[in-house]
Amino acid sequence: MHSYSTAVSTLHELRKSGERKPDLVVSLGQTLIDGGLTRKLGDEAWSVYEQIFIAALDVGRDDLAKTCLERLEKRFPDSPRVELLLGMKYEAEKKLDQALSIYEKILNEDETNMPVEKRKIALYKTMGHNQEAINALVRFLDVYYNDVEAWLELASLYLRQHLYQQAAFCLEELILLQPQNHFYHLKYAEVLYTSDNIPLALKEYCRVIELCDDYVRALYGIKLCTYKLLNASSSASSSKITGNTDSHTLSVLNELATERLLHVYSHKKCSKVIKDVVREWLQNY
Amino acid sequence: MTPSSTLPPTNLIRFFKFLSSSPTPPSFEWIPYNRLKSISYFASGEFSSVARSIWLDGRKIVRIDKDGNECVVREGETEVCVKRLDGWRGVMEKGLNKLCKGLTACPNQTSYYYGLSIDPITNDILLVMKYFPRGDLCSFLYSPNPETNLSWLNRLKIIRSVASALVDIHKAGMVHGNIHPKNILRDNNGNEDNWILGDLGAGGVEGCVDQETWARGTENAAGEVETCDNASGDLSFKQEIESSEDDSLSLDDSDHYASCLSLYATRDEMIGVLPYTSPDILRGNHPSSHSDIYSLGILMSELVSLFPPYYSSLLSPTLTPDNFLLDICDGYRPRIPPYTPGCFINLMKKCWCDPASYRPGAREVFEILDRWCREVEGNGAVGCGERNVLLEVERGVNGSVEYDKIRKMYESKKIKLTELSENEWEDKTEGLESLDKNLGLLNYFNSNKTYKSPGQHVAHSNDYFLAWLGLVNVNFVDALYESQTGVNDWHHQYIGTPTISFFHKLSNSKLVALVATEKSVVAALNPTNGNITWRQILDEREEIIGLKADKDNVLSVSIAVDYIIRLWDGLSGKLLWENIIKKTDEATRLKKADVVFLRNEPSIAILLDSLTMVKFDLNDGKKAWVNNNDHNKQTKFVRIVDNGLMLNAVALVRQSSRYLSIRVVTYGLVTGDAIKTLDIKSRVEDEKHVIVVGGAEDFKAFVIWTEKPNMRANRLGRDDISTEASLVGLYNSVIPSFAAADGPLEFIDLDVGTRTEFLVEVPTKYGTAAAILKIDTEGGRFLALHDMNEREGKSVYSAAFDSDGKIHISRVFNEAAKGVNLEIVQIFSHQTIVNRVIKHSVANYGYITSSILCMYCNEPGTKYRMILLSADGSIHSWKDSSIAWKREEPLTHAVGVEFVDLPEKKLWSQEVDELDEDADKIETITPFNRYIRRVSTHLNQLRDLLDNLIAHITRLITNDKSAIATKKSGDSASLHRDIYGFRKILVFVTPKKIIALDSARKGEIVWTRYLNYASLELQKIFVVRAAMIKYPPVIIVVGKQVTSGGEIETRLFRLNALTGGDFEPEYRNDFPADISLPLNSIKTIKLPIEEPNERTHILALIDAKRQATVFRTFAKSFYFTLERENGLSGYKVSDNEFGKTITANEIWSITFPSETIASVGQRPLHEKVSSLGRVLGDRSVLYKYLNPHLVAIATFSSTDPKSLSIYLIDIVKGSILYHAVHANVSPIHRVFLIQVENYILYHFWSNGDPVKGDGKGFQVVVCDLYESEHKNERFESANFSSFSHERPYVDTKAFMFPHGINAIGVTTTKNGITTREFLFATKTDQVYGIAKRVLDARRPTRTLTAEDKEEMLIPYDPAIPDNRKSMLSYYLTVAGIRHITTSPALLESTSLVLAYGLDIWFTREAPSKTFDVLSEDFSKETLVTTIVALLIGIAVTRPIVNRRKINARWY
Repeated sequence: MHSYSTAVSTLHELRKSGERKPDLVVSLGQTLIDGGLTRKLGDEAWSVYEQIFIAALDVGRDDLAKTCLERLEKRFPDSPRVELLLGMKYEAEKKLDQALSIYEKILNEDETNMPVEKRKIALYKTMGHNQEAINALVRFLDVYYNDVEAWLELASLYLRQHLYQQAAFCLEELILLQPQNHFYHLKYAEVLYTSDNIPLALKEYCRVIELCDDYVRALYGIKLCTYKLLNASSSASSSKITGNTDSHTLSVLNELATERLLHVYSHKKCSKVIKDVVREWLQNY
Repeated sequence: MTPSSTLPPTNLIRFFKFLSSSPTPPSFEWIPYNRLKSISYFASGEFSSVARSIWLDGRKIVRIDKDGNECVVREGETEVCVKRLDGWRGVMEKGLNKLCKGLTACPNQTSYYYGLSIDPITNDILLVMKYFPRGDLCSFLYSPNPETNLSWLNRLKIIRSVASALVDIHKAGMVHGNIHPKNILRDNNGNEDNWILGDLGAGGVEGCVDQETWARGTENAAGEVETCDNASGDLSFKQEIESSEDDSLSLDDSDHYASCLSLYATRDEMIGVLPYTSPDILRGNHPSSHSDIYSLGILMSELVSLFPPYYSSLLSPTLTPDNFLLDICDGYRPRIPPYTPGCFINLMKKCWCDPASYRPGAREVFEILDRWCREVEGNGAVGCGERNVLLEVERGVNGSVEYDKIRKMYESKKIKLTELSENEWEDKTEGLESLDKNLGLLNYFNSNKTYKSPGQHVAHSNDYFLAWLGLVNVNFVDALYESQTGVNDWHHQYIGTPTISFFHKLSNSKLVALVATEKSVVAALNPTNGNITWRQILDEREEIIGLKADKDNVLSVSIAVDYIIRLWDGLSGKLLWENIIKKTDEATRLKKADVVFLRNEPSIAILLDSLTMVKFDLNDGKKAWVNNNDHNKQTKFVRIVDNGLMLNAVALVRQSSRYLSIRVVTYGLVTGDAIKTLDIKSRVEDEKHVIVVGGAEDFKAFVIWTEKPNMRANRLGRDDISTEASLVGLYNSVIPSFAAADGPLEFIDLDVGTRTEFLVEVPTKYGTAAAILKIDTEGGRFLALHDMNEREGKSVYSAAFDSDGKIHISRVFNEAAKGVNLEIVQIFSHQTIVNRVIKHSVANYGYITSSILCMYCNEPGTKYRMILLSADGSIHSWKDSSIAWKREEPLTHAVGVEFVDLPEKKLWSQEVDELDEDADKIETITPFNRYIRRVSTHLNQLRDLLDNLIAHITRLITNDKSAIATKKSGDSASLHRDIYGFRKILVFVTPKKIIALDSARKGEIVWTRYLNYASLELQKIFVVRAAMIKYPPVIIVVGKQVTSGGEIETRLFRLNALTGGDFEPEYRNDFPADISLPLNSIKTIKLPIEEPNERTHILALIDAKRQATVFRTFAKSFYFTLERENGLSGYKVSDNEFGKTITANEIWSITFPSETIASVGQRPLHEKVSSLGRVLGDRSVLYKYLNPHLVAIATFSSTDPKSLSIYLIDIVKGSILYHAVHANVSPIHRVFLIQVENYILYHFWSNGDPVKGDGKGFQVVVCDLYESEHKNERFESANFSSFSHERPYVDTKAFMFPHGINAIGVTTTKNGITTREFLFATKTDQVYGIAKRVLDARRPTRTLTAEDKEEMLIPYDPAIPDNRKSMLSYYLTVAGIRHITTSPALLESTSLVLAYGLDIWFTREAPSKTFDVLSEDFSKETLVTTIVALLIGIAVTRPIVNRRKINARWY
């Protein structure tokens, strides 16, 4: 019984946190279903079935997925949530068109069904219809503008299309929604860097460092940005490119980034090779 | 056609013009005087006269002739009735207006008015009406020879026709105002009678009767009626009747016509037929449509019973019109015969209900009656039987309706309301009005509620009342539900100690023990269980001297002033008849009457005293004859014997100072004359030496006597000595056990009817020797049947026959070694059937003093049954050597009672004993034993817990509220308190016996103690110590005893109240439980001081003889009073030492010249008063005057007319603080006075105002004592002192009380917070409870102000309502209550009430409802059911809700 209760509590925690860990879920779910213990779960059983189903699809355990789906279908006939699962099953079986028709059918009945909408976008992505996926996402975000992951997904889709301006917009939205998340700042900074908006990128990198000390990737970004700006200021019309920042500040920033990077690598128990590589790189910039 | 000379006078022309201009012109016309022929007056008065006449023309008839034209023709000669209105002229205009209104508004109802005429000579107006030869309803109903059968349908039809006429009249906006049978005229319409409501002139237009018409109309009518009241007028009237009968005109016709157009009332007079007049008119209102409906209701009752309403009450000579009038106003209505259909009763009651506005409308009544008529017609004979049958039933009892006797009451007459005194009427009407206002609604609700839930007592209606008025909560209604009867209360019925008792077999072959007791009760006891089959309580002054039964007839003879002979029905105990025989002055008062049921005729002969012999008819109680013998005073009759032909009475005549001689008088049965008087030559020393036996036939009765040296017998009726036997021979040779004789031989009558066996007894040194003898009826010789041998002590004998008619003799005697012994001997076989010791506790009951035996019982396996009396007066029953039942009849003599609190169980258990043990003592017990003891204690506790649980559950299931009490106290050995303190021991003290009852277990006897000391008389009881840890409660009983030297001694007995055993503390050997003090204590006071070691209260005994005061023990200084006949003295005791006799000094004395003390009150000791003041409506306070030394005294003046004085006296300094005098108070009824808290209440009989004659009745006066008349004012000094000059402010109110009372009491509660309730034991043997709020001196006489309402005052009403719902004793009859005692329970709301006298009744009373505990009617079942239902609901809905929740997530 101990295993049963731990299994249940583990599954519960996983569901709550949104982690997938399909292997674990499948193994736990397998014991639950085989042992006929799902009945003891009472009302919780159905979400457990759903969880196991998705995990089973993840690991390709079609038999287990089938069992789960059958039980869910029996309990909730015509439920859109179950139909969604069916669509996922089709997806797993590469019957993408069937899956899409299912999703569209559900959305015809209820166009506000968010999970299905998302699933449909994901399906577009799988099918390679990037433009349709972008369109669908834009439509989706019109309604659910605070869906962070959707913004992120849209940004990545834009990036895939090299539409940096649009991607930057999406990331700005993200920063607005979650200003404390340094990752979004970083991503934004990188997109800016790529689109050659170096001064702004530098600021964003700095913001990342502000939010997360000694974040290596940001330090590298600062290094690159200051290097680029210092070089540009020496060569061409400085103020246009560097913005308001004077060269002294830039160089100090550069030095600080170098110092921090060295500090980071010195403290880490990293191999000498890597330390050498880093030192070498730093000397170039 | 019409001669011009006979045109109506000008003032009338307008009238006729107006009539003809109305939309439906009535055929009321001007009739010329000369068209009226042969006017013959048959009744005349001062203002009007009535005549029969012939109208030559007759009425107009519209005919259609051959041509189709309408033409008016006349009927021709018509017999009419003419009323000459002499006084009409004066009120012509108004009167005609009214007549006019009637004629035009409802022409159907006035069609019998033909027209007007004027006598040309006298100028009198003549009113011409139709002549009804068949009379009216009155003559129809009450004529000596009813001509037709009056079926139910016909009765309905009569009422229907009246109702339909009323519909018309009321629709026209008019009122009839004078409906009674004489106004309902019988119009013959073919075969069927048609009933017409006549005399429409009386009423008026509803709502707009102006004062002038009113007054003048009365003037006229009053005159008219006065002629009837006038004696000479009445006489002439009757003569007229006789003569008019020849003219086929009944009296009632003339009557009717005489009262035609009779009118009604002014403010203080009214005209009408009283029985039919609605109470609202009697209160001075104008007649209305409602009052018509009332009269209709009364008419309905008359038609049902076929008797005039209130017939029997009106015949009663004591009735006065005032009483009658007030009775009607109070809701008195005619009796409804039992056969009346229910729906009819309902309608009738609705019609006559009070207040008027609740009565139905005429149309409603008509429609109901119409529907019934049609139903009855449809079904044929439905409803009740034919009239003749009813007449048989009803009139068979009372005889025919003697209508003439009560004629006056049924005549229209002027009822002078001024006959009542102005004030009283004012009061009465005011009272009634306020009653209307306050109680009308209440009554309405009550009645509504009663309709809704029949069979239940109405309770708690005051809540409705409060809600409705939003005003004062009047605590009038406070009754029990029927289901609550007997739950909280118990009632023991007692009869007293029997003086005469015998077994008797009734016609239903049931055996009863008939007894007559010293408490003047005749009763039949069920011999199997001792229950009272029936009992009849006679007046307590009566002494029953004879009781005899034959078949179902039980005859009792009692003596008060005269002899009263009553015959009771043996089955039910109902009185069959009663007759009184005057006691002749010379007659010596014999305490025994001999009764003989005559053998050959249904009569009884009774020998009442030495001079009177009476014969009664058994069936109707008529005296057949009385013979007051002319024997001299020295003659003393002993017995009478009926030999079938004549009566032989045996008398003893005093011959000399030493000897008596026997005289036999023979009486004839028919006339009662003494036929023969024989003096037998004899010399008898004592009555005991004479016995009369036999009497089956003539000359078979004997009188036997001893006359040394012989025993002699005389055949009654012969003058010689028939038999003679030598006593010496008898002793020496016939009866062996008599050889030890040590005294004279005595006869003992075995009461064996006509048999000739008898018992002789001689005292011996050791005890008594007895033998059964018989006298041979043929030869007249003595036969010795059985020698019963010699037995120890005194013996009690009784005889009975078995089923074969064999005689058995029982003998009860007390053997010192073994106890009470019983022997039963069958005479003929000389067989001893029973010979054994009975477990009769002589210590508790004393010796057996008399016995009756029964050998023939219906119960199988029972050989015999005996009922015995013991010396203490209790009744015992023995059956097959065991004790079947006992009755503690000494309780009827209770002189005092105390409530003893029981100890708490926790504090009275093994556990406490253990904890209390000394360490040394514990050492002595082995650990193992200690362990066992502990375990057993715990086991006991566990068992108690289980018992309680079971009891609670059974109570919940069975809803039997008594289950807990009985279960809890199931173990009688453990006397302990219940949680609410309802269980107490009631310790009664009777002159010889102390009896303790358990109040919780329906008054079961806990212990009894018989103090068998000669001449001891117990008087008082005190609880000197309440129950405490380890200490039992202690009572002291105080009694008086006359010592052998003739000195009076006071005796005190200290008893343990839980067991009745002597209380002797271990550590004091010098203080015995039984103390004799050589003093005559006249007053015993329980001092509020405790003796420190024993913690018992100290009693102070005051000695009368030495006029000083003697105390047994010490006390601080205190004051007390002693009453003389006409005064009061105050004493002070101070400076005393423990254990010494101390003295008291008289410090003041008051004498009331020419007054005698009637009643003295004193505040109860240890009284608890919760609040110092009374909070008024504006939050200010009136401070109570709570002087602990205040005594209230009621005195009667000794001069005539007697007056009652009330004094309030401070006993410390003897100052009179208050004095009030009530004039004309009669001392026939006792004055009852009670003093509690700051109230004084007294009850007395007032003779009223001798001039006005009003105010006669019982009165209750309540005095509230306050420190000041003004709010928030106190005495100046902080500490109260009797020596300060402060006087209380006395606020008083008097009330008329509906009952005479025998005792008065007041509820006491634990902390005195609850409002008091005064309890009255009424003379009707009930307990009547009235809240202090009703008997409150602060009840305002003005209209209630907002502050009064805030204070919850009730407006003053002089009459205390006789509300049946305030009867604490609900339907019980608690006979002979003499005392009401109360005691607090642990619940503040509840007081324990004990009423005792003959019966004992105990109850719990909560004057302000049980506010501190869930009320009895709180439904715990509902609570539990609701919770269970909710749980079930949750269990059922939870899965459903869950499923829906999940589905919501998935869809």
